[in-house]
Amino acid sequence: MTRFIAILVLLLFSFESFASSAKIQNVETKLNTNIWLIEDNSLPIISFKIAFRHAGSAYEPIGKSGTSNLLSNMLNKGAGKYSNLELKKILEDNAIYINFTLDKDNLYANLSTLKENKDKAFEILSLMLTKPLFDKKTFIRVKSQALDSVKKKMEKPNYIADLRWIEESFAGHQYGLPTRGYPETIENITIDDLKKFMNEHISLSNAVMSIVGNISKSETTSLFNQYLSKLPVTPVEAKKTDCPGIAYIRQLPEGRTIHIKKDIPQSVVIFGTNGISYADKDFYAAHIMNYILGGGGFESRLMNEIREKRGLAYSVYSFLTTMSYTSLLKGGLGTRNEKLDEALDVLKAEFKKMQKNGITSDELNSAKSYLTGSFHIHLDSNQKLVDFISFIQLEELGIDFMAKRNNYINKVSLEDVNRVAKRLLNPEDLIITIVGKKL
Amino acid sequence: MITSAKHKLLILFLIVCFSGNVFAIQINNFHLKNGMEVVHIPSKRIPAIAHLVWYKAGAMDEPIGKSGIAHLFEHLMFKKTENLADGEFSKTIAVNGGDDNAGTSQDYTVYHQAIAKKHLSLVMSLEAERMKNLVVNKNSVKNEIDIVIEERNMRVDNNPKALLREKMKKALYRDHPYATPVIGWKDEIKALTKDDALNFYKTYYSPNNAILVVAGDVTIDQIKSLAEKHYGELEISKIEQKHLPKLSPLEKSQIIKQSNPSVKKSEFLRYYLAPSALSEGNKHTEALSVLSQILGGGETSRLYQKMVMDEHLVTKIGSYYDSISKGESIFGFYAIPKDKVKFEKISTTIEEEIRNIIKNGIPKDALTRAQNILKADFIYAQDGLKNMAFIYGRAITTGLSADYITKWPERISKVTEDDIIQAAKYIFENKHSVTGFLTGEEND
Repeated sequence: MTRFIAILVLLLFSFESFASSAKIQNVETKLNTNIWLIEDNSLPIISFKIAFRHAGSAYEPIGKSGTSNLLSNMLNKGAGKYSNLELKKILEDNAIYINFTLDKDNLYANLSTLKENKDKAFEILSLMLTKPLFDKKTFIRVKSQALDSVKKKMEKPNYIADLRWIEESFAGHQYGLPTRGYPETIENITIDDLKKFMNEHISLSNAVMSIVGNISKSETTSLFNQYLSKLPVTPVEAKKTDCPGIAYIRQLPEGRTIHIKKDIPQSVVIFGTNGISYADKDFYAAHIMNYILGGGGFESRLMNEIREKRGLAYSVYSFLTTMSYTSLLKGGLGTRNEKLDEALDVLKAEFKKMQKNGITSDELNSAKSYLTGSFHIHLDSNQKLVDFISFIQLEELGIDFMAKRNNYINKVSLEDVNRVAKRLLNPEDLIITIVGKKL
Repeated sequence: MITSAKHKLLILFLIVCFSGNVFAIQINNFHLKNGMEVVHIPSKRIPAIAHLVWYKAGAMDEPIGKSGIAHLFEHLMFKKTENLADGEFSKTIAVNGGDDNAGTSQDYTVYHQAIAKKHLSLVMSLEAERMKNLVVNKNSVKNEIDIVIEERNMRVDNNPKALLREKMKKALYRDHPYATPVIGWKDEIKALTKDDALNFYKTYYSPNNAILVVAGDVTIDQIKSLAEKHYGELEISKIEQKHLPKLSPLEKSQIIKQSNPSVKKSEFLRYYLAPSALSEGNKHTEALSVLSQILGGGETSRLYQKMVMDEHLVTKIGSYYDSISKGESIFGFYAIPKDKVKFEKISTTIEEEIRNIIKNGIPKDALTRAQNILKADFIYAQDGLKNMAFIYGRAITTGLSADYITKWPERISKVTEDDIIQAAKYIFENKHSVTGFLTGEEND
């Protein structure tokens, strides 16, 4: 039991004045692709990440939703001369961790290894990305595991509410489909679908690579030359796909409230509206605005009004998120069924209030102070650093971003925040989905 | 070991040997004048510190009928004190670029912050303030009860599996305090009062019942002088540690069914009582950690190979075991059976595999692999400011020594095949269990 649940996604948006010791180096490779490196020799371990752009669930063929998830679960099930079991034993014996994860935009390869085992680790990763076995029996198993896992998710109120939210918000767009598919679309997927998806989407040409830990520039280069250069270099085009609906979403559909009936004591609410992209001049103003609205834990207005003053919820939060083709301001809360209307009223009133009256200069200063002071604390491990520099690359924020980021925050004025609040915080625009008992 | 004029400073080295390589970190351990224990885990990686204060007071210490008070009280610690307004604690941490939170378990309550190193004195002064000067008022208790009820709704009452786990723990622990959930029973939470909170505070919140853990970029001398200044003068009180009753073996096995129409895939859960590092039978704990890895730790494990790969009975299977608790622990299994596979088949297959290990032992490579994985986890745990602080703090607060953790990897290395067989016999042979079936339909 904890006092409150920190929402992990916040971490991505709380990067700040960076510890001087961590400096990003650009390692150029012979194949015209780069690896960003932070050398940190304090521990004998290394974390590595590849983001394959445009290999996420939004690029799956129609009716085959769940393809990229199945692919990510098949890639580490045997490769080259190693059976799945042999591979797993080598990884465990050498304390190497390799997994594949995904979101709607990208598919990620994640690797952690002890320094001494780095060659073995990269050899295996390279094999997984070039010679996965795609064994038939394994595929049947992986598919039934993926099906069960999606069915378990569909039991959870939060998942149900969030799925309905994306279905409503992105109807007709690939973003409106669940990242891991529906049970019925998973059933449709074949091994050939995975192979095709892999051929079209896994390539060095769309790979964004990051490495952090006990490794030098020259060691990074030689790992690349020896192992990763074996990956295909065929160009991957974002739109070279047989799925429609990959267009930029500038505006979500009109606001609405949808109630999904479920016999549970607590109504689970997901809410959201249009967000803001990094390229927008008001991004950092919005970042500060969100911290004050619902991003800053106990210091946020939503937490104060909904939880602390009225005891309506344990958890209430908001966050900004960016995807390749849209950006969102989203959030959630959970409240006992009989208090749902009151909680929603307070939520909308807080949107209205900040839109109309803006924030105070005290709030602005506190937000700046937190956001500029907490950065290095949120980047306390190789793992977090590698995720972070991968994110900087994907968002194309620049190799000097860490040094500049503080200034971006500090430059924001009260007027900037109030202007962006006017633009984003229309309570009428909120798309709200609720799972709970309707009273 | 270095001794200073006033107190002993114990320096330990956590050493993990992995395929011939040695990783070591230094741990410093000493006591303040008033008895408060301090642990220092140095790390220069980022100019920040993690500051944790652990109290040897958790849900197990609650008076009968007052379940949830330890956790509710943890929430109240963020309220008004004699010198801080309501909410000022967290606000002060936040404006200084820090994060804070807290947690409650059966055995302990922990309050923690991560912040730039220059603010160590500030967080100590805040934490020391609420150790003794909290002001509990009626309205905040009432409001916080509403919040905790929502927390319970979210974690438990909205979730059929969590409800099943609660019932299973009650059946397993019977009249032992661990039978009661940490968050408390709903009716009892609702009836908690300001006096209950104050009683809990006065009984347990005192420097001689607390452990300070500081990890990060700070020297032992800095910690010593700051800790003496902020915590060393706090008044101690007489603490009577509650003794856990001896838990008798289960007299019969029990099956608990939980049905809920929202369940789309059935689940199987099983609990066996197992020794903890502080309960009877604790010589088996390291062997049990290794056994859990061999039986149900990932794809190479015995149960996964047999039940997922060979016999196609389940899509998911695993086991778990945690030795760090005051009272008896749980050796647990979970599985997602394939459609049409009977729960009974899952039970008998797990039992068969356990008997197989007891009878035929385990191959050397499986033992070595399991030991490697457990030791590697310890190496990776050093990546991050707080991880080691939590590992050491939890163990010491529970009643173990810093040395217990420091020597843990070494003890794991020494576990033999026979140790595992003896440990398996100890917890499984002729022992009963509590099994939970989670289904979508009443008659599934």
